[in-house]
Amino acid sequence: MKSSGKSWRLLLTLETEAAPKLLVSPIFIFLVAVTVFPTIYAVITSLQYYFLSEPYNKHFSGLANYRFMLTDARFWGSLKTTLLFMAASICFEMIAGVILALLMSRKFFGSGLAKTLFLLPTITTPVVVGLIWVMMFDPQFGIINYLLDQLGFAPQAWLSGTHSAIWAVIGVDVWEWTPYVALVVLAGLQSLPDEPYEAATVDGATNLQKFWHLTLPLIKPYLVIAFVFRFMDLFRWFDTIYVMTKGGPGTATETLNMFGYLTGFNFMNVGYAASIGITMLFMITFVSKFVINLSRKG
Amino acid sequence: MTLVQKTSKQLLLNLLLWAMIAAFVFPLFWLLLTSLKTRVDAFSYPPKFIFTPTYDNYRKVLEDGTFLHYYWNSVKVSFLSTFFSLLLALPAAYALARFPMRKKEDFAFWVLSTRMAPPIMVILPFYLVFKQFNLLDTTFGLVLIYMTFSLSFILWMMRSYFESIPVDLEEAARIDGLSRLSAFLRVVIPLSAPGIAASCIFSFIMSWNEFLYSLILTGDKTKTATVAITGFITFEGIRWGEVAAAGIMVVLPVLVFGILIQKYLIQGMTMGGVK
Repeated sequence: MKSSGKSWRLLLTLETEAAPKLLVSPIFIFLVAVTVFPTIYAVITSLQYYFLSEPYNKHFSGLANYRFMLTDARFWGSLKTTLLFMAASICFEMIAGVILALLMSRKFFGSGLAKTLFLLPTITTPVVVGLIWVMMFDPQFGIINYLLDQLGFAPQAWLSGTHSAIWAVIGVDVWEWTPYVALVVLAGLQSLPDEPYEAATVDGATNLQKFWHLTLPLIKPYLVIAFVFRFMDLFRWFDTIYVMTKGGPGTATETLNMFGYLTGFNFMNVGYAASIGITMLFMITFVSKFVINLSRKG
Repeated sequence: MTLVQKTSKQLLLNLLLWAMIAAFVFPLFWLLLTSLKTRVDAFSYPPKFIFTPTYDNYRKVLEDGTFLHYYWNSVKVSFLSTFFSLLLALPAAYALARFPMRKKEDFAFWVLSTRMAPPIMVILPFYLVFKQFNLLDTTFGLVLIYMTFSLSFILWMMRSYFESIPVDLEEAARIDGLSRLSAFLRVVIPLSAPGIAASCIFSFIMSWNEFLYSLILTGDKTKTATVAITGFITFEGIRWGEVAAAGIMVVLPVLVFGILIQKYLIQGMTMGGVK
């Protein structure tokens, strides 16, 4: 009895070999429960004919959902929309982010305030971001058309145009997340050592050469971080698109996420929605492995 | 380059920078202006910059108490999910920071990767199971699912914070007779207060801003403010003044908290990748 009481006390005071296991196990158990279980459940659901509207008809259907996906033009369309949305947003955000960071890394009046103001778009509630821009994109009263009009351009029905809607959504994402990229890159720029630049100046390097051969390689880890986080978040993006277009007009802004949501909760086809989710899981796992390998090599 | 040329170039770059900052802040400023406009002013063309401000929109939003109820739901869910995440993540973060462990990095990355799972894949099983067990439209269900993302943030942020605290302090305390647990509770935790506060606020903001899970898992009882605000878009059209007033109310705590912890914000948003 006595010795077991003692070992209990050792356990409780963490004076034991098992301390790390003891500390980590609660979060481990919780996360296994809330991630592994849903994944298995989603796999099972994806192999079923399962409509929420006719639950009594639920039955095992093998790979039928996946086979249907291969021939479903709407799935391929939403994949294409996702890729365009991600590629365009990341491109603009990285380029504009680096430019802004370079401008901000100089000494200038009000740099503290500038940094604070820059945070605002990034932390603003995404649903509210969507609403603000719906208001500004309004074809009749919106300020964007007013500004275009003042500059002599024709007003647009931004969010109801088949071609303009996706670019409007991309524009909003760029507004919301460029400051984030800029602040990450800025952290990198402010950690740069002085010596290589002094040496380069002695060697007569131009500013452009210094940027290309010194700054870019030195801030590469920061660029990779910004890229990876933007990539992960863009793939799961939903809020602003839902508020601005709900995937429309037609399917013009329907990303995979939106397609999965509509399939499951509007068309009630949970079996198919689950197979879309599983497919997305495969894609993101594959791509992130690839990205991690790439960043390790470089 | 002469000095004059140099200063004027700098001045030009500063002007350019501030113009860009103004462009980035403008939409939020516009939201604030719209929230203070009457219906007529909100729908005027050309858009009005100068007008007599009114608090009518705020009054209308608060009047019948439903929005306030959803606002309170947001506070509740964000607070509870942060609190329970902290309870689970702090010990684990400490273990990762202090003990040699097998497969430590694999574990840390596994926790991070839970964040990458496609939301639609995560939410469907929860929806189906919650439906069966009558957990739809409950605070418990929403808190549970919000914890899935706040946990990984707190774990990563606090791990790097604990690592920055010298081990010597703990060891000195243990030589003075404190157990490891007391050393953790009485030395490490107080020293990490700023980091804990920052990661709490961060997790609070994440839960506060969340939309999709709340949209699917809640109904009239436990709906959060982010979902409730889309309710101002009605069939008769959008009541812009009220949407803007509600929007300001939703955004305000996030902006205040965000500015409060701005030093840690980028660190949090990159899971400690940027110090």
